[in-house]
Amino acid sequence: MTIIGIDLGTTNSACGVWRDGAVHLIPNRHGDKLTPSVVGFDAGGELIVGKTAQNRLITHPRDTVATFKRLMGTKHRIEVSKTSFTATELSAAVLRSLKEDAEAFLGEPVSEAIISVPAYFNDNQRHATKQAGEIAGMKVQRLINEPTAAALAYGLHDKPEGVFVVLDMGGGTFDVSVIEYFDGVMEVHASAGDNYLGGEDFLEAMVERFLADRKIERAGLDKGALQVLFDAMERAKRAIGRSPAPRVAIELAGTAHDVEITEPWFRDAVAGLLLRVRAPIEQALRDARIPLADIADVLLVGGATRMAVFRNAAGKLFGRIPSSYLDPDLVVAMGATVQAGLKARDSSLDDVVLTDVCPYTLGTEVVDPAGSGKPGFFLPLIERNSVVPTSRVERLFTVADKQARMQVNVFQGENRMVERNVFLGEIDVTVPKRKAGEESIDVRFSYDMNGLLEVDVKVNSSGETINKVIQQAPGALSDDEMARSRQRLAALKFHPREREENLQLLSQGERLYLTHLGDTRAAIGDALAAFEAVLDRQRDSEIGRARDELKAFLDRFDGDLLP
Amino acid sequence: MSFPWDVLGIDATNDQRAIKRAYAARLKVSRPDDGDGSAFQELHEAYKFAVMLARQGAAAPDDGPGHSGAQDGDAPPASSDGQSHVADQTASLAAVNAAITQDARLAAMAGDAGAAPGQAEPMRLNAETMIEAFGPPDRDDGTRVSWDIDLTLAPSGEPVPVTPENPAFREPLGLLDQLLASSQNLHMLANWQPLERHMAALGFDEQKQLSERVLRRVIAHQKSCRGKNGRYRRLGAKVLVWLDGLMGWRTGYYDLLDRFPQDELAFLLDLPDTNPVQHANHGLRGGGALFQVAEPRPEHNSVMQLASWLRRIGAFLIDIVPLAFLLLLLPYMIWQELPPRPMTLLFACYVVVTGVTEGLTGNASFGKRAMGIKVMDRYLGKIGMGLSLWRAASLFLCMAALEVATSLWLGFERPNYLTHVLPFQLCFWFTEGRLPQDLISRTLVVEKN
Repeated sequence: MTIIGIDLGTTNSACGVWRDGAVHLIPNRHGDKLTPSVVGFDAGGELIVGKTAQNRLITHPRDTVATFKRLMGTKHRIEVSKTSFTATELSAAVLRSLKEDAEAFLGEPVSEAIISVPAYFNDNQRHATKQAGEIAGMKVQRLINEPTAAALAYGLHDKPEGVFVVLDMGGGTFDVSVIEYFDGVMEVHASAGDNYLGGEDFLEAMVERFLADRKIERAGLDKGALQVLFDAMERAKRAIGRSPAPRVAIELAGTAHDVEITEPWFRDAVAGLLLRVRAPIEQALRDARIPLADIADVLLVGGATRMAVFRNAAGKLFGRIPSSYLDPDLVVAMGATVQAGLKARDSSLDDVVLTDVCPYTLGTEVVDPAGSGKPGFFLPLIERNSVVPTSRVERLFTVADKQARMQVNVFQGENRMVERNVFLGEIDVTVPKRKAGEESIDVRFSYDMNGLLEVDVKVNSSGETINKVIQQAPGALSDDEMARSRQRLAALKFHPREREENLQLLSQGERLYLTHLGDTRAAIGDALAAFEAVLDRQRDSEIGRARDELKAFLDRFDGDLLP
Repeated sequence: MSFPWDVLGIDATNDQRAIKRAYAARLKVSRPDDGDGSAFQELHEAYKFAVMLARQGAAAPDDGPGHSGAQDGDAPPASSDGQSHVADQTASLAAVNAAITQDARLAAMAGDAGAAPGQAEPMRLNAETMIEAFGPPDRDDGTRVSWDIDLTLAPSGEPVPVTPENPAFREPLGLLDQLLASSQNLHMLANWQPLERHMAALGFDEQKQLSERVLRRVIAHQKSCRGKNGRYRRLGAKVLVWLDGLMGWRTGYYDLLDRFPQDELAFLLDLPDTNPVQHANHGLRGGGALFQVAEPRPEHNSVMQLASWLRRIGAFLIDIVPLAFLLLLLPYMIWQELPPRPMTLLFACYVVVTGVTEGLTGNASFGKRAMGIKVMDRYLGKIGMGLSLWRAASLFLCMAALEVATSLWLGFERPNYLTHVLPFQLCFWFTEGRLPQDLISRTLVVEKN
């Protein structure tokens, strides 16, 4: 049985398989290793995932959706083509697409996977990710933290010794991990992060600044125009610092704009975001209790770390040039694949052991320990950055005479008062009615390697035990809902693989038609019309030739700004 | 051999490399994903403990006199010289702070074309030069850095002075004034976050003092923002709830009543219970923005006081009239005779009945319910049976004390009930709506929403 490793990212996803003592990344149906995490529907109601859908973001903004990973673990429903989905279901669609690619590549069914999550994902978000895997028809063997996965990939790459800091900034999240290698042991000392800081936020800041500079009301723009602007800005963002400086030429609300995106302008637009990089790094170093001087290297992971401003900030913080000699977009997928090999107990990985930490504090609600009798105080059981798996037990007593019930409320967070921490779930326990303090329960928190929490409650006088995997958190799906989601997704047909390439090409052409002007636009329009005519004739040999021609033609316009 | 060395399977040593080697070898046998992980948990604890001992140079005292310096020289990650270690870490983190502040400053300057080129120079951070160049790290930064290092572990040398000087309020209050003076920044929760660090750095008593000073300023600010023009500068519920969570105003509401007039604190009762931060933590950005800002309660004035006075009288009458009917009128109609000391009996019955009903329902007697008011404890929670009976008893005691006092002073055989009622009403007017039994039992009578 093969286990695949999956990096389910905010903007891009990738997967790989551990074979013959090495990582093999799996190309998707277009031959790319990266699959954009974009989901859409075509006119016939068939599901499209990846590059095709990404192209359609501009042409069909209502039928396409991206960056839904940010809503993982919430009940928020996203409207696509007049149907609404949760982020979990949309992620499941991406996972199913990756699974099909892997099955085509391996020639055998895939039913088990390791999925990476941002280290700072909370319990709700982890459950949602696990459920997405299950909806897609895979048993999720392990959730691995993204920076840990990245470190694993680096660690196998050149087997260094010492303490490393991994900075992982992807499309939507920023994670910091302090990791030590010695004798095949990879020990994570601490993780910290910001779930709402990533490349998309930098893009958002650029667009905001652009609109503010030009005094354009964002509410006055339609979704399509906005998407064109985002697209242009994304291209410019990737080319910042090159010469000549990238230009954004765009027509918005009837006015043509043409601006040069210079580095000072960009630096100014994202200054506020760069400030937020500091806090997680500080916290991780403090929790790890590692002096700055002992850090051997700083590793950069995630596409957003390509930005020069980020590298600058990281360099200034640590006083050294950070390294990134593996492809930052793929390194997490490589690490997840290594973990898949580890999980399968592949003999080539016998001398590698990974220990990870839980990134946040878990605890329960108690009345004021100072004795005012007021409820709502947080009692930490598992402190953040303790090594997992870990298990701790605490004895809690009744506080009122003849108290019949004790409610164990489970919270996650760092605040003294529970109301400012995240509620994860509750367990109701019935205890014999006696005087206050005479009845007690033992609450045991067990935190496993996947970052999932299990709570055991034992009533000491009666010996009754209750065991519960915390699952009813807001945003998590019940078993019923899971089954329904699975059916819903199964009913949706994927676009047939053989026709996918034509569709992808057409969507690319339509996007280029929108983003170009004048003669180029007319030429693209003609080429598309000719290709559609060929498609209508339905002769396979002819279609293949026309497809290659159109691809070469379109790539001339698409390749100029991209690396 | 004993813990942790028996778990690791080596003799006690100060050599961290050897500890790590032993740990790695054991780890291959008890992997973290084997079984329930308890074997791993024990091994890991032993490892951490051993490394800590070795770092202090306390693991093997019989290593010889030279153990603290030379012998550990080959252990690369950390030397056993705790003092320099601590200083090093403090200095490095201070340098981090200084560096990033500088970076922010650079980033904030839009026009600095040459100031921050694309490549960071591989410079070695040096605490002295960094601090010299960019000014000393903030006081709170200094204290925070010191938290994670247990200074008592330092083997020798003078301890690093970290206790903040006591004009420690200057900085948080300065921040507060600055925010309150701004027109926009005061609405953004992120701008208030630094207060959290200031609070955390203070002792319990100091925290209390600071929280009252902050409250005083907040109240003054809210007052200055009355009227249409001030509306946009008035603090919203979002910020107030956050500040309340930090400062614990509502937790100490009753104590604050001693030093603040009730109408100034009224806004605390109007604040919603949940905090938008929690919404944000659930993964929805902008949760705070969706938050409804409560309109401030109208000013406390004599008309309102009169209304609440009438309410309390109404509640009292509704409670006592049926009792009077049962205890006085009914016996009179049947036996043409009143029971002995009828008024005392009536009042005692009233006290018992309201005390019990308030205790049973947790907030209000029949009369109070009918008039739309309720009784709450000092934390604005439900009152229990004990507190309710104590409240009733204190009412009865007050009345008895008045009876004794008036009969001693005025020599009344049958005292006039006005001399009992009048002191209660005076108390009500001068404490802004609180009767003696409320004061004694530390309860509050508030309107139902």
